[in-house]
Amino acid sequence: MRKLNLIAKMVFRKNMHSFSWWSLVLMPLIALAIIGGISWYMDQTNQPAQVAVAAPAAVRASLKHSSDPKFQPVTSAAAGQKLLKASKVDGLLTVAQATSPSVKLVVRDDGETVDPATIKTMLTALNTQAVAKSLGLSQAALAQMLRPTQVTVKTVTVSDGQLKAAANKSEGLKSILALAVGFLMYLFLMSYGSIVAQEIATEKGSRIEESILAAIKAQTQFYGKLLGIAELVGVQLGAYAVLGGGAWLLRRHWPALNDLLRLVDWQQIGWSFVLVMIGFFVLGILSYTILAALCGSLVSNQEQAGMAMQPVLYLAMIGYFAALMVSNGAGPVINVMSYLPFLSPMIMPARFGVDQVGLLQVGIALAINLVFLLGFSIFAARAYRANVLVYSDSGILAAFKKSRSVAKAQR
Amino acid sequence: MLEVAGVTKRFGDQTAVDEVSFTIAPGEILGLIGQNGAGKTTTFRMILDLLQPDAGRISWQGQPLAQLNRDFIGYLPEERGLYPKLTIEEQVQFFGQLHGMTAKDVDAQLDDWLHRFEVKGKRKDKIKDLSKGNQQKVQLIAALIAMPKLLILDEPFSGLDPVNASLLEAGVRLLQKSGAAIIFSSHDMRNVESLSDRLVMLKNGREVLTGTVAEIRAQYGRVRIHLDEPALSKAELAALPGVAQVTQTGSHFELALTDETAGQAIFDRVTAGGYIAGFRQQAPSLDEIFRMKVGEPDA
Repeated sequence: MRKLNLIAKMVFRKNMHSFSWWSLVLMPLIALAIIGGISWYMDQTNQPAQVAVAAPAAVRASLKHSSDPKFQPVTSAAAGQKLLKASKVDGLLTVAQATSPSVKLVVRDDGETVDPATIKTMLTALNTQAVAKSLGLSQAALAQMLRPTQVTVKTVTVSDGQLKAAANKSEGLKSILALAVGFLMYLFLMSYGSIVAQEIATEKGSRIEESILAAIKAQTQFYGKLLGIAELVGVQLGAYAVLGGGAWLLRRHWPALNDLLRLVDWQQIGWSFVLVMIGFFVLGILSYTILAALCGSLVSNQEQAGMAMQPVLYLAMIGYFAALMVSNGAGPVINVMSYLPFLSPMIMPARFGVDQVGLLQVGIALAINLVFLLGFSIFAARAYRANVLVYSDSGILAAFKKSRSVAKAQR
Repeated sequence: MLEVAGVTKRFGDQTAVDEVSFTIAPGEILGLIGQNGAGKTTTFRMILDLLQPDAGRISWQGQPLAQLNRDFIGYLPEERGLYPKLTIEEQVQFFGQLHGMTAKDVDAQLDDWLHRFEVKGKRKDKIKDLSKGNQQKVQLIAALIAMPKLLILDEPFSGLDPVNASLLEAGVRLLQKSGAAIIFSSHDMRNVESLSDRLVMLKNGREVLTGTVAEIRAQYGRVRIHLDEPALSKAELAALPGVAQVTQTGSHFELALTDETAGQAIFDRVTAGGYIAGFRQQAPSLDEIFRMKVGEPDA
């Protein structure tokens, strides 16, 4: 245990001091900051349009409460034109009488955007109120007349010829989340896979491996490296969680963030979906990191580390693209793939997101992945023991063949 | 005590090590010699449990070595490697702790070791900024600082200049005094002769020589005579009874005898004219024995 921790600590410390790990952690934050900054800047520079309004007093009084566009009452169309010429307003709205069927809007082509649809909606509402009043309708009667018809949507799942009510779900949102997490997983496994493959390839290339293996079993070293990588992933996700939590607490003081959060209907995502996502994310990252470590142990030096990552990336790409195809309906191929290790962590959450599968199928896939992960980590640790002593410049496959003969000799 | 008993290792059809046996007592230094591919590194890897023997056993103090915690083993591999981006201190701390030392102990002893090996650099210097010689010294310190009870050195003198080779020898002697069992391989027979208490020579995986340097040389008899500035010519020396071959290097002659008893008559003949600068009758050097053994047909 002491030596396992020592190896994990070494991996952790070396990466904490490396530029590549910090860039991996900071890049998403920098990207968010840039997007947020641009959004803030746009927000600051985009002022609501100013529209001069020449209209009867009742209309002017109703429009003056609007915030976008802002209306500036004028006594006559001529006074409004004067303001327009002086570029003090972006548009001029002329309304002859409160219930006119048509009005005139003049806009400056170099001014802020004035949306005619918004103005049309406002004036239509005013017109409706005025007409209702002239017909002697009460406010309650008017409200009743204008009340929109409510359409209740109930989603059902066809299962074994039966219609079963699906839970209160927002499929589109879940589907997007599943794909986003799949993409995040792809980024993580690419980064951490590269780190672990690079780490092992460097130790092999610098021949420090034998010195280490004189004091520690190869399996212990292997698991120590994985533990170190897991700690790095934990720190990164922890940092995001802290920042996310902080942002959540500060959302009321941060209007742009608040508006963004309001766009998402958090209630509709559901805890089961969140837990499924976390489960597949953890299993996926662990599986791919172990695979990357195994491939990294097959190359001879740091320069070949990129070669080691190729099979890992191809496999992840298959999973990700298959997940993208899930929304088009699941055929038998996607169905089988969604249970296969390495592919399942990306495909199954997407299928769950669009309600193609229920919790039972998800549970089965999680169990398959977990059992595979345990077996694969034991196999990988054994293979690693043979691989780290093998040096071959003829590619991964040749190294793998050579490694198998060493593995047989080690038994 | 390390005991290697009848150890055999095969890779497919090839036998890399064939029934090799030896022991190393505490405080003893064993030299393992042989050509490239003779089986030295495979033997080391089996002792380190990086490879399992197909036959035979390797034990430490009577216990199978593979089952023991390896803190007591120090190893310097043939091909040297360090973490270039780490500092000297971080590097030695890692290996010291990997061999069971506490961070505090490594910290307390590091300066002594840096001084002992005359490392030109500070604790906080990165390995990549050191000269090759100093990097080798740091790796030696990393292997020795835990004062292992079993020390394995694979070609430790390779790439070292004579001054650094002496520092290494002093370091090995220090461990020997502490009671460590030490095994090392080398192609330089002068180092083997000066450092080894006993030696084992491997050829194609098999032991072809075992014993102390004196015992091995004695097996061949005192069949070499070295002469400095003799009065006789090379042809005259070659014609003497019992002389098989004469090699001349300047005014120095080396006579290979068919029988060591011919030495007395040769001495009388070369000194018949009076003073000569040098006469030495001795067994073949370890280097010669190594070459002879390598050249012998396999049994």
